[in-house]
Amino acid sequence: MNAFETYSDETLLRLTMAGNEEAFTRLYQRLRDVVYRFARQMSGSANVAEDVTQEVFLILLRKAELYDPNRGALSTYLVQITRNEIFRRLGRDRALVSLDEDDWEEDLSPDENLIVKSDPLGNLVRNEEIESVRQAVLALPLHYREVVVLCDLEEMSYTEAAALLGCAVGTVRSRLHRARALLKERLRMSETVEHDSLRLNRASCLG
Amino acid sequence: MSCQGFETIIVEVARGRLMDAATRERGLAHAETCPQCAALLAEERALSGKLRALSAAAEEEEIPARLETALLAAFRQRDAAPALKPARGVSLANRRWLLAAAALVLLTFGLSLAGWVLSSSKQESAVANSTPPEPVAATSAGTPEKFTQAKPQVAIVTPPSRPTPDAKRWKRPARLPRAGDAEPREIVTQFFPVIQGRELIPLESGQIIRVRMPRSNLIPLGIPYSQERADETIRADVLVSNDGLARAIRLVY
Repeated sequence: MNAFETYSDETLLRLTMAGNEEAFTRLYQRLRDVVYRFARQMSGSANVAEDVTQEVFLILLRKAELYDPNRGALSTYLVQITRNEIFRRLGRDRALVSLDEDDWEEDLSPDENLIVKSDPLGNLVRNEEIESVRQAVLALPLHYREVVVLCDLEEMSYTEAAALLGCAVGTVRSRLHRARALLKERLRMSETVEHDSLRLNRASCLG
Repeated sequence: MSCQGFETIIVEVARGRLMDAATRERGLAHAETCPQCAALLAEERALSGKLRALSAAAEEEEIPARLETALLAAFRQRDAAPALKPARGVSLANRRWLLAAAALVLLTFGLSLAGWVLSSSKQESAVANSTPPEPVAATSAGTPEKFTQAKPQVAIVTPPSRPTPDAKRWKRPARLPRAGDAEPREIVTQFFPVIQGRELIPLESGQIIRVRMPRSNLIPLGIPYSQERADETIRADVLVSNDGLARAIRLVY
């Protein structure tokens, strides 16, 4: 077994800072998935995810000394940077919009500009149901979307997600409940639309 | 358990994440006796199943290998730049001596600066006392007379909250250099040739010019970029040879 495989993330980062290329390679290979997947699920775009992943690791290279192991795992730190990057890219147009819980409670139609559509080729290849779930997740307001991505898609515990987002466990829990209610609503709506269009198609074929 | 109580734990039951086994059992027992809650639980479970499918699909996605290549290139560039290398080979004792020496230098410089400012103020007040008093100078919010005399009109019309440029210059001596003032660390890629397939005079010397350009300009150079960021600009270093031709370009992050 390669010695690098046994090293902790923190040790690999220290070696990386000292100029060890293999340590950086291992560190990247170990942590790229969590960064890329979070970016992918939050943005809905492979291009954005790729860009953000690159940016996150460049930031790590530039400012590795800012990481404090006492404040959490390196993977958590990287997801926080990823989250900031995603918010910077997706949320920059609504910097003045309130993120208060109540303001979004009845909001079933979030800003369409914040939804990054998947690539058309991907839509063709992917399972239709998965695609509709993906679109429903992407249609969620950002602060609901991130708890779904972290807790339901990345299977983090409420405690882990709360530490990452810098909020209370109860906030994560309530946001997840609300987000899932919105998801069900949206999926029901899209199923109804699909059902109606199928019925119309059949009617036009028969008529 | 009541329907209301069940609703508060339904998501955790559906996700199979409820830590308290007893509460979970009570919830499931309630769902068996309540058709409405059973239907709600079925809905939540269906949603969890769909989300798991989405998660599994995401795990199958391959991260492009070019990302690792690009990052490794950036890492090598960073390592090659001496300014970015962390200090190595300096013992703790030596570091303490260096810190002490740096502190001494800063203290000496600070004291000299303070002395210079004080002596300059005395000289100025001496000059002010030797010249006849001017009404404008007296009302110019503490602006040294030397400057207000040169521009009495300006001193009258300028509100006190916005001092004249001269006054600003006088009041704010040059800030001492600090450790954080250094240029932020930057990472550069390798140089990409700009001109290909042409007979060129061998490059003997040239100049590197820092520019900012739209990301879309990367297309003709064959450098991959994200189309979604085409409208953003990127910093780059252009290597210009003595014949005035741009020979190569590298990106700066």
